[in-house]
Amino acid sequence: MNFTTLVWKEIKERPTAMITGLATIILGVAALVAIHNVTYFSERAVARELEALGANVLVLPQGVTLQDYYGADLHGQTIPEEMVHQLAFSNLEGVENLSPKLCVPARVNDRSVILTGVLPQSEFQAKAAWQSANLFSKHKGCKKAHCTTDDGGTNSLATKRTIQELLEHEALLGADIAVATGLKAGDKVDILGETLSVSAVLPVMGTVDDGRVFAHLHTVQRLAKLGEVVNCIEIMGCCEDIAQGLVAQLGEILPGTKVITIAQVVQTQVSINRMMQRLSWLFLVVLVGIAGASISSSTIANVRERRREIGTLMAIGAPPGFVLRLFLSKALLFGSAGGLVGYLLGTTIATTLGAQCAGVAVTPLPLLGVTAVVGATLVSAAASWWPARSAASLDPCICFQEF
Amino acid sequence: MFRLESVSKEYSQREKSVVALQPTTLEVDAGEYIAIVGPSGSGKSTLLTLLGGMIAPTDGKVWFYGQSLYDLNLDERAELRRLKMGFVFQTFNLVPYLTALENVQVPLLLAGHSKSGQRQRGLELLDQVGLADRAHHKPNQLSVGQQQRTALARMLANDPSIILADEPTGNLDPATRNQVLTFLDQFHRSGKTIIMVTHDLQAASRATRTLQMVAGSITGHAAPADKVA
Repeated sequence: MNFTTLVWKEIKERPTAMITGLATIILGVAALVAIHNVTYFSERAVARELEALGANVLVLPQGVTLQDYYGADLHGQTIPEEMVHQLAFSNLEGVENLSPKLCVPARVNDRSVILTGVLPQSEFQAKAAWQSANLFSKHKGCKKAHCTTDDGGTNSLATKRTIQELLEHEALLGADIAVATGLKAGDKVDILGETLSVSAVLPVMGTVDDGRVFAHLHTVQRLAKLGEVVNCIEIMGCCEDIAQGLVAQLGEILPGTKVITIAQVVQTQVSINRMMQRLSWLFLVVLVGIAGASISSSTIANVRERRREIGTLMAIGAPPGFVLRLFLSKALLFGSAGGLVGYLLGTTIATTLGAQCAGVAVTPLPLLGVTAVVGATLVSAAASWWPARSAASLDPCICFQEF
Repeated sequence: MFRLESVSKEYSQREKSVVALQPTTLEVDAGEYIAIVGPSGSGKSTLLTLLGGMIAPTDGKVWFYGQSLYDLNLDERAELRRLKMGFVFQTFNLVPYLTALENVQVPLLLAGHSKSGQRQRGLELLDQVGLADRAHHKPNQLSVGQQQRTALARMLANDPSIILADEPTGNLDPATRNQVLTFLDQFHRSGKTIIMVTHDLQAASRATRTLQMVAGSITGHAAPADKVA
């Protein structure tokens, strides 16, 4: 027999004694790990998206809020399409692309969808050639090596918010819509009383775009009978430096509109993430307190229950340090096991619910696992320290019947 | 072996002081078999715990082989108990989640014996008390007599020179009681010193000296010839 056998046999004898403490550690660690995972990956996703999109600027109708924009632009407010052409030929330095959008609700195969009209880049280019105008240019000192227009693949709509070619009778399906309706490239789709041809299915984005059907802007304008209007114009600047300057210039060119940078939008998201992280620290304090109190009370109860056993061990020669180790080892075992199980549970929750609820792909963070195990073990040991010390300082005489 | 110099013990209970042992002077020689008798609350168990280095006296000195017991620190006293003293309890005090063999192994574990050494010695001791076939039974699977014999085997694990027994026959039926007393006689004959607290006058009669305690004081010493038959 060794020391570990003694600790392990006692745990097996009284499995319920520490279950509350263990459950508190597991739940506490799981909650913290889940929150941390989601906020961490959410921030990374936002940063990645911002980097990929460059200095993006939104032009919205005056009364529209950011929430409306995130709500798929179904706010019903519009601005004239003419503004798009004003922008395209205004010779603004640093504008790399424009993407006007008009969104209307529609139904496909009895499913609600957002029909979004987009203007393909080829139309800007054709108009520019016809007018002999310079379309899009870098600003002086631009850090970006090449201002690029897209190669025209359908994926660019997902990644760069623009598309090179889109005919008036064509439609592109968001990934969710394609799955829900069973439609694929080459199929026909009836929408708002017209039959369009599905030219492609977009890749999964994890955003509201997965629930959209994209069609030519002029087709959507005609089907929705809204005239030559758009809900918003997304502007891709060539690099981030240009964003603030563009906002001021756009304000002058397009009076009566709301011009904001996506960096500001992202900043809002980042602020929310930071708030979540700060909240997770608050949770940490609360959960550490609860877990600590729970483990401490379990250990106190365990010491009380084992008083005679402790006295007997001391009578037959166990030094106080042995008794201290007996209780602390148990606490360390529960802390590390709770930390590990909590980490696994939290990571599972984050990977499962992160994608579904927050639209963030979460992968396990091994360093977080180490932190969870070490943290939970330290909390458990600290919470058990005082009861373990009190056990070690008991008088051995309590082993006798009369004491 | 033991020398008590004006040793007294007082307990505090709700700010009141209770004298458990009046100033007592006593000598115990190696190889003695002493029975401490007296009514409940007379200080018998207090005297036993003082001898076992388990609770510090309020006053006086307890000497053990020329060493002042309570001038040693807690670890040193624990080591002394581990190597030189064996305890027998009225309620046996076996660890409930360990088997008979593991209970006997605990003092050996504390003394730093190897796993195989613990096992071999444990089985020998259980065999010595007639429990070789009960080695892997837990206390709740053993009869009362078997539990006390397991406790005796545990007590012998580190071959103590002195045995301190607190009512060792208090919870036993007559047959088991005689069996336990016979074991104690054997241990005494093998040279061990035994100090036994008991209410049982017949058990006390087997001792070589009896100390009568009343209200925290030793009121009488009885030599073998004077004892109850």
